[in-house]
Amino acid sequence: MQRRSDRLVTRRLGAGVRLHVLPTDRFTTSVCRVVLHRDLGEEATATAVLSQVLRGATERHPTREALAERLADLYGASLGLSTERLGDRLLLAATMEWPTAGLPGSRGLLREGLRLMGEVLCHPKRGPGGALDAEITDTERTNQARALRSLRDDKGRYAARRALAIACAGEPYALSPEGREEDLPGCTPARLAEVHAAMLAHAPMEIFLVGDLDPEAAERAVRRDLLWTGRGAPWRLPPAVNVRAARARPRRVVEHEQVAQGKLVLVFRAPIAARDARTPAAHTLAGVLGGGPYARLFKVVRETHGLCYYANALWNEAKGLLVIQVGIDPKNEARARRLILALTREVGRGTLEPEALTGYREALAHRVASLADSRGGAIAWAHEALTLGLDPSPQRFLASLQRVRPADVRAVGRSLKLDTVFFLGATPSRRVVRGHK
Amino acid sequence: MSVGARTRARLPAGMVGEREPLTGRVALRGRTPQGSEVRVLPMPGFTRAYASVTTRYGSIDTHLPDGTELPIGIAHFLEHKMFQTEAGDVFDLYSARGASANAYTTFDHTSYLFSCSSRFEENLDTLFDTMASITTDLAAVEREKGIIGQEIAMYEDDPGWRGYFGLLGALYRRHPVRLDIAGTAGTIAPIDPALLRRTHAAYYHPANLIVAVAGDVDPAYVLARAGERLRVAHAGQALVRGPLSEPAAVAHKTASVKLSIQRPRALLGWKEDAPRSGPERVYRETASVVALDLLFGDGGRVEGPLYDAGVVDDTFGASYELGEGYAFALLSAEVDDIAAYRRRLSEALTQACRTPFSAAEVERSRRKLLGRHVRTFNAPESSAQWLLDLALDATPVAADIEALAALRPRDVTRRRDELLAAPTAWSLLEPRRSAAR
Repeated sequence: MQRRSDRLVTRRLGAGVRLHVLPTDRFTTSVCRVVLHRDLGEEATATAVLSQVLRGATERHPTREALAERLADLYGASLGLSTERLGDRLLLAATMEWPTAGLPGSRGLLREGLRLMGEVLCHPKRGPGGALDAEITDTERTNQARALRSLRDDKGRYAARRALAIACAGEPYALSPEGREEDLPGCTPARLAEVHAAMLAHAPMEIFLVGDLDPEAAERAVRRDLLWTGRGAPWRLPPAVNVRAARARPRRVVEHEQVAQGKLVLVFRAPIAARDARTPAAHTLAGVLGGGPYARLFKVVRETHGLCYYANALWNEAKGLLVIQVGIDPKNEARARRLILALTREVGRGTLEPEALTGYREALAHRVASLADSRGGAIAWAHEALTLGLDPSPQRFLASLQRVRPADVRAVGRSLKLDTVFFLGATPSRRVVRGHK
Repeated sequence: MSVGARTRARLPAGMVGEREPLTGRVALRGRTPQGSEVRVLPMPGFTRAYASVTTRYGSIDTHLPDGTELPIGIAHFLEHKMFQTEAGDVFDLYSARGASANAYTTFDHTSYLFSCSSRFEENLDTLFDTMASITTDLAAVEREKGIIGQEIAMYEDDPGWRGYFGLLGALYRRHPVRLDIAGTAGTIAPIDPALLRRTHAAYYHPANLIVAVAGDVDPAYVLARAGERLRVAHAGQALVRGPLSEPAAVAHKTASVKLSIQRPRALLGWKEDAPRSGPERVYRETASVVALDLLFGDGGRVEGPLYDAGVVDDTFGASYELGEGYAFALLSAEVDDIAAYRRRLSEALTQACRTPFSAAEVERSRRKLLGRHVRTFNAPESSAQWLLDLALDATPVAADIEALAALRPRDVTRRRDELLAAPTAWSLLEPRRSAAR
């Protein structure tokens, strides 16, 4: 069944443009993902609105209905555009997946899909003077305001974002990839057209294409259907990786909200950049502490003390952050916090409980092996490595983790400092105080 | 649709094959001596394998076969406690091999699963052994109440979950589908080890189990191993549910709740009688999904104008759900103003139903559903879920594709008109005043 190599082949298509092709015939669909990079800064809001305006209509399909019909014709192709954050970079990402096998006529659809992707990215519906369409812009500006307000309705996600915004105050990373509500009035059709033109011309771009075609054919197809003319010199962007030391004294912020479950987030910092030799040990520390059901947080906070349903920890290598999240009964906040701090100290001292260490390493080996079956996972892995300047080989990353020793983790633990504690909910005492006001 | 003679000659002993009509993949099924149904989809070339064992027992099964009434939430509680076996914590066994394991409880079944990229045979044994017995004591059960209490609390803050169960409570007067799958802290309080053991003995008998496996695996091995490991000393039988009586009328026209959210949500449900036969069920589901897509999908007759007018955004969506003794359609949206939304929706529905669906509309929706279907076979997880659905519904492999192919525009129009004439109920979520910060 598998006749292709399933290896990512990279080609440079021009200044700041790279094409990454994964030839494979194991899947019934093809996937194309285009990622445009820019700095995470003032234009975040306009870029976020732009992504949704592009998704609205094109020159050839000038209404949402027409574009939806075209996607349906391509056997229900999925098309998503969004802004994302990777370290201090803002990414405008467009992803399309459409059937190219297993259905009548589907083998000929590879080109059709790429053409539509090119249309969406390069040829949006325009109004007078080259501005983007006013009605679509107005609708999507309103929707962006709604989406920004709704971020708070997912309590776990909101708590994690707030904790990171507090920890990274003053840094680009404090900014949401969806932008800010106060910037929305400035997102006019003319302004969006300027942002669009600038990104097409200058944004460093990574194109990923996974499907049943060889790299030469992929390059021809992308050059013909997806690339636009008029590329200028690519922007020289600040690095995505930006780490700093923790603040001198940890900051604790409590936001009162009437919720059934409190959300506790602890952010630790260590000045360990992604390419630092200590990065594998930092990942190991986070994995042993809270990487899964084998990890210390799960075993102790959940299984031994019955305090939570979920508890996890993750190492953010672009920012040098250890982020721990747990959902708990608000009355147990202090107890859970003490337990988490004690466990973090335990692992940070290099005390690596054997089952947790084995569990983490094996889970990562499974994840790496699974990349062969997961196009989205393989693309995300490759893109992150390219952006952070890392070795893109998952196997070599896995090997580096297997070599981590307790002393390596201890070295990370020594430089790890608590920076921010954020709690969403209400401690019993706080609730009483507020009740008296 | 059986496979041809040449293929049949290569089928493992005790298994029959059915060819999936679009991809040509052959799905195999067999039965163990004690009655477990075994379904396997070989996926050559895939690194990952996925396996699940499912008992046809879920939250709507509120009594033991002897008539003993069970606490609400016990099916889900039992799922949590099944991971402790005489060989130790099942998560530890999976973790040591890098497998990712989990379980979930639905209205009518409970599934245990793993995904792995190596040591499939050992993991399969662990999965089978997990089902054999329940090993727990009073202290562990009491501790689990704290963990599940936090799971329940997490969902209490989840507007999607609250809106969904608010709607089921409004639609249904008696059917246990209206009850939260996990129960409440109060309903799980009386659960003890003895009751868990009795429930396990009644519903985890091999004759009530379904094995579903997808990946590059040997189907004969899976069937043989299931026969060896899914065995008990006493005879048992598959669960046959009695009729679940439910009046046609809804329980409440509106259910409202105030939550800590920023944006209101409105869910509208249409309550229908449950289909009585397998073919009727396949037809109902297929025709309903197409009708809902043409009304509420991207660019649909209702979605298109409401989106363009800024009344709804991409949170607007519909689905059709049916199971043992229940069937309903659900339309969900985050909105700015519930009253205005209800008025505009009513107007748009009236307008949308003035004319029958055209052949072109139905063809587009059909292509979308075909595309969705072939995507199933891009991952072992979704492929195994497809196998499980076939087993639970006792439908042939090609039934839904054949139903889709046979669907005529007038069938979809009739289905639309029947569905929209059904009794309706609303579930409304409104922000607590204190949440607006």
